[in-house]
Amino acid sequence: MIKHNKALDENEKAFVEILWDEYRALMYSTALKYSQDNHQIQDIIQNSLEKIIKKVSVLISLDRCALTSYIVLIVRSTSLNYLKRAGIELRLFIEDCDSIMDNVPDQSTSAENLLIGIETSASIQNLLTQLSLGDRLVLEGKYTMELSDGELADICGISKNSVRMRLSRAKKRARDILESEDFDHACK
Amino acid sequence: MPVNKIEEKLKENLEDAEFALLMYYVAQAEGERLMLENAQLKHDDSFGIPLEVDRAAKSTIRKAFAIRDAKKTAKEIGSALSKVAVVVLVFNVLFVTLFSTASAFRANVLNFVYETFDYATAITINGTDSDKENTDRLSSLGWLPEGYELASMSDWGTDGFISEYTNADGLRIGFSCFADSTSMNVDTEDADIVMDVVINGCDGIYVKKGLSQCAVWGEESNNYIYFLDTDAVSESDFQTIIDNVE
Repeated sequence: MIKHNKALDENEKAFVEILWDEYRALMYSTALKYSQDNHQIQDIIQNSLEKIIKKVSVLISLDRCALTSYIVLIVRSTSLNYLKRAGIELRLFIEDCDSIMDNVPDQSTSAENLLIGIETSASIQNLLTQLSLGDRLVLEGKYTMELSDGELADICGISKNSVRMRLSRAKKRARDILESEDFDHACK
Repeated sequence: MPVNKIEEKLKENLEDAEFALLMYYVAQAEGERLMLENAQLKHDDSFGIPLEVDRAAKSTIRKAFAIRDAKKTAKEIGSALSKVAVVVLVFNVLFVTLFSTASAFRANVLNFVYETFDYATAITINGTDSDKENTDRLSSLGWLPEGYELASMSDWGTDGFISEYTNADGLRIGFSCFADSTSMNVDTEDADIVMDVVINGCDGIYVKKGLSQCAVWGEESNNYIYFLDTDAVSESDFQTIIDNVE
């Protein structure tokens, strides 16, 4: 009877409740990778659910694969953020311990070249294995979760001003990995 | 925009598009792997989630949606009041004239204002945003149809509460209370029934539209506005609920 669409709200609430029933094992197991303390895990899961609820209109539109990925991304980023706030520092970015990265992103690879062969799961696994946690976080945050620069800065524990640079570096490294793979294939 | 800037912007857009596609493939591949992992975890008897984590998660969902509902309601009320040229109807002039000799009733009427728009009726408590020292207000319903029990409650002390009663079929009755200078926007457009009612000694309005029924009433002494709504009970049950509000 209240003017806002209560039926839609109820659907969204039911969706999140079903989501929790379906994915609680995976969410718990993901949080468990970052903390063994049940109280911390409880906090991480509660914070993750709050983020899921904020993004519920996006999540409802996703297919099952993307939805599963998205949920794990939220728990992973929340875990990292939680640990950072708890004073536990993780080395997310390679350049934090190795300063040899170029500052200028290399954009020589064309869009077509970048995506050649990426549909194969082996290429994707290779990319995911070789990217640092921070690079994955910033790329997945930007392109899969469609987070704003402010949100990205928050989950990566960096300043908003350095988001663009982190993103450029992560893209360059992703490109390098995919290019070297193409080179390996060509040699074989 | 200079040509080189345009080219730069277009290249940036192209790069964003290619990485969005790349990460889409990544999400699909990761999703497949994670779905498999999820299925394995669900069938793994040695892997269990602590009960307190499960309870806390369910409670978080209930609370988050209750707060979101409350925020949306408040926003709509604000929006309705700012957009529409308000036709203030303190019942009507005749009504006020007739009863203005009864001071208690006059105070009640003047604090509890109906504002009629073309699509809704807003009911406002003109409070003073006073600092209430205790929660001297209703907090639960005195009677419920069989099978209903309290499913969620977000209690903000003297600022009010939002509660929800449900039965085994998931049907719900909502009962909420808001404090001081609150306005409730009730959809009365093309309603089957709109009538003034007295609930627990307070003036209010009852609206029936299709299966949906609601009652809104204001408690003048404490500047609380109450809202009861459901689309799950009969008119007679709804009447019994409001008869037992005290």
